[in-house]
Amino acid sequence: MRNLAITLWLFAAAAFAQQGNLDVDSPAITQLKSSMAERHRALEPYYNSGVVGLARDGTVALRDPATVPLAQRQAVSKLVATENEDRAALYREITRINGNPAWETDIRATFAQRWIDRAPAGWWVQSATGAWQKK
Amino acid sequence: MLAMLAAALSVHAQSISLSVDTIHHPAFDAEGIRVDINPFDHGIGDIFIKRLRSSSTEVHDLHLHCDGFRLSDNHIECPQGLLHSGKQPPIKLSFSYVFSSRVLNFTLRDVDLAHLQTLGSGILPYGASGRADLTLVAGSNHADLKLVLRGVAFNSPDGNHAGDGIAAQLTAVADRHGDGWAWQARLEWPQGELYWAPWYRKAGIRGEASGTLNSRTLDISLFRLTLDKVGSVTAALNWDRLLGKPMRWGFVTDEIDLSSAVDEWVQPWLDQLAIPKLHASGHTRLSGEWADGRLQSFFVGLENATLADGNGYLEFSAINASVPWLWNADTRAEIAVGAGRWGELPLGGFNIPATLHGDNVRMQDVSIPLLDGRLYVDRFHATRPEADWRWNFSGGIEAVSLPKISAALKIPPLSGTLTARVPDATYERSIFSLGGAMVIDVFDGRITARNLQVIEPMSRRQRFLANVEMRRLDLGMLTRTFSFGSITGRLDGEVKSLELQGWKPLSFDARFASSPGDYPRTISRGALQDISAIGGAAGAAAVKASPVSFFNTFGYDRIGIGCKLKDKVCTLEGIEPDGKGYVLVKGSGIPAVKMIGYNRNIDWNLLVTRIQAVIAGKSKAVIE
Repeated sequence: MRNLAITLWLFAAAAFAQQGNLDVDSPAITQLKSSMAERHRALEPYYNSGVVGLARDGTVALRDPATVPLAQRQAVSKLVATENEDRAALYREITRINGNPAWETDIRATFAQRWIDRAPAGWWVQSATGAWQKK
Repeated sequence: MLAMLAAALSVHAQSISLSVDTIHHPAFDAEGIRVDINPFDHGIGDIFIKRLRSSSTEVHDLHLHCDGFRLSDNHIECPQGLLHSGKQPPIKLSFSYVFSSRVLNFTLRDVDLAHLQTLGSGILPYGASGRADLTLVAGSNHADLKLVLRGVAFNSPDGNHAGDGIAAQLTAVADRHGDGWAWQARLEWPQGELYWAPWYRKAGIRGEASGTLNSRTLDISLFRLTLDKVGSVTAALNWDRLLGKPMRWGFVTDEIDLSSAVDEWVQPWLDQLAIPKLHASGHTRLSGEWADGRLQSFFVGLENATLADGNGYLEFSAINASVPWLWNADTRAEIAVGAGRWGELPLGGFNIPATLHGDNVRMQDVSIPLLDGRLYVDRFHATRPEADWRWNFSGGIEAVSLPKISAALKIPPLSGTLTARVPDATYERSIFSLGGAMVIDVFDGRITARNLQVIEPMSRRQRFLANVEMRRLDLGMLTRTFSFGSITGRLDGEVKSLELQGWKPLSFDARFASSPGDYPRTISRGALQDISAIGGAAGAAAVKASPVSFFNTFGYDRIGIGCKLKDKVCTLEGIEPDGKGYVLVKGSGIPAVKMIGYNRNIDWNLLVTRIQAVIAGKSKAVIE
């Protein structure tokens, strides 16, 4: 399923590149892609079980951690925080290499929507109204 | 106060029925009460309550069936009761109430909390389950409470607050105090686990508290909490019961174990901020005070502490610190560090005097010994005008000898002195930028780094960006230092858009070439072999020399190489093209030599391995 993460990334990146003449390629972004793909293996069971969902702001969110044993909740919470740090770094890096920090909101929105569009059936995603729904 | 606004007593053939509109008590209000007593059936009684309300709970349509029921003009008693609500299994309880003294004696035995939950909203938070015993003796001027919990589990809807397998005991006594109560309580939590995001704890907590309670506020004047393996904290809280929020709170710890405190309390919080792991040992004392909607003060004391980042790259030891902070006034912090380590470089002891005021931190004249020189900070100011911190400082590195640095780093000995001035470094929007240039005089030349930036310096993903310029480095000193054959001359270099992560390059565009000007230029057979070896066994570099076999040293006109690194691949170029290759060494005079490279792309890690092998003297290349 590492391939799935990369595929999701490629769709998101391609979609974003189509928005205009934007550079979505840098060594740091390559590193981030690799890091996120690696982490995807740990996150995937939580996507499948609905513990973690894809939020509309381009982050992942602890949607329903109640099914996770207490002793593991810290670890899942840390996993989500680390993934969101990478995602935030990704959005910032794209704005940085394109020299326009003001684009970050649009970049987040574009990536968020593409990730949600391409999420497999059974994953939980957040709608524009903020409600969670199972694909 | 008991008020019978309307009462009706009716006697039928086999029962007595009593109706009461309202009962008011300091602890509860009851409405729509009806008591049915069957005097011919050995004390069977049924009590129906339309609505029962306490300060935090309201339940409806209760039916209590009692065996051994007694009702007199002075008291009501239900020694064996079954409380029914809807279709849920009944809850076992007993109670008695003396009208004259207004003493209520109430007991729940081995009650299933899940059943209690069904009585009404607000009785228990977060869908709690488990079993409990409750004993309450409450009079007009005195009350005793004992609550025993067994196997309690709960889960908040968002999963951020949860407990499992909790066994605990709470005992409390209260005495009338003005219009409220003065109370003391004791809590024991010997078993179970609790997750209160982001913190997780396995039992081992004991607490004692005292305070007052009235209709408006819950005041915990003293709360002494002891956590196994960590230490004790004393806290106070004033809670507005009507607003449902704290008005002020504060705490002060005893001397607590810093390692346990960081692992259990600080690191989970840092994890949420994706800040790398922190290792700590020693002892600490902490205090804080919150009021008027904000933190008003805190104090952090460290005693013989050690702090290190998770990778062990940066470490400070023998730290003794006193850091007081006030929201609305200047405070003076003193931090003394006994020793430190920056990678392989040892740091001497130093002091950090700092002035704090609200969201402002100022330091000046900090000097950190580094080998025979020092790191220094002339001025530092951090502030938080909005959500994020910004800071700036001026300082630098002064008179650190490169031989000592190279010895500490276990690299070939360098000559010269490291001195660099940072006139105005800033941190803003997660980017740390060094204004001006860092200059290092080394190998009888100068290396200048400009546009130095650290991206996301507080994260595990920090990256280093710079443009580096080298001018007139002595190639003789350089090649002797790194055992790279022997080349005499001068070297210029440019490394543009250098980007490092974890001190490993992600990308750069580098060119190195002999400096312009008039100076002796020779290259040894060994140097040619080493350059050829770096190109690899695939014949990346071809050497044309005439008559090469009889000479060990050759003259050259220009030498140079370029490497553009991207995606872990280095794209090579020389000083000029030559057919399908590129010239690395262009000879001059007799004997003349020319070195041509043909390998355009090379894996970066492989290139580094080859360079390391050449420096270690393991190259196998041969010039014929």
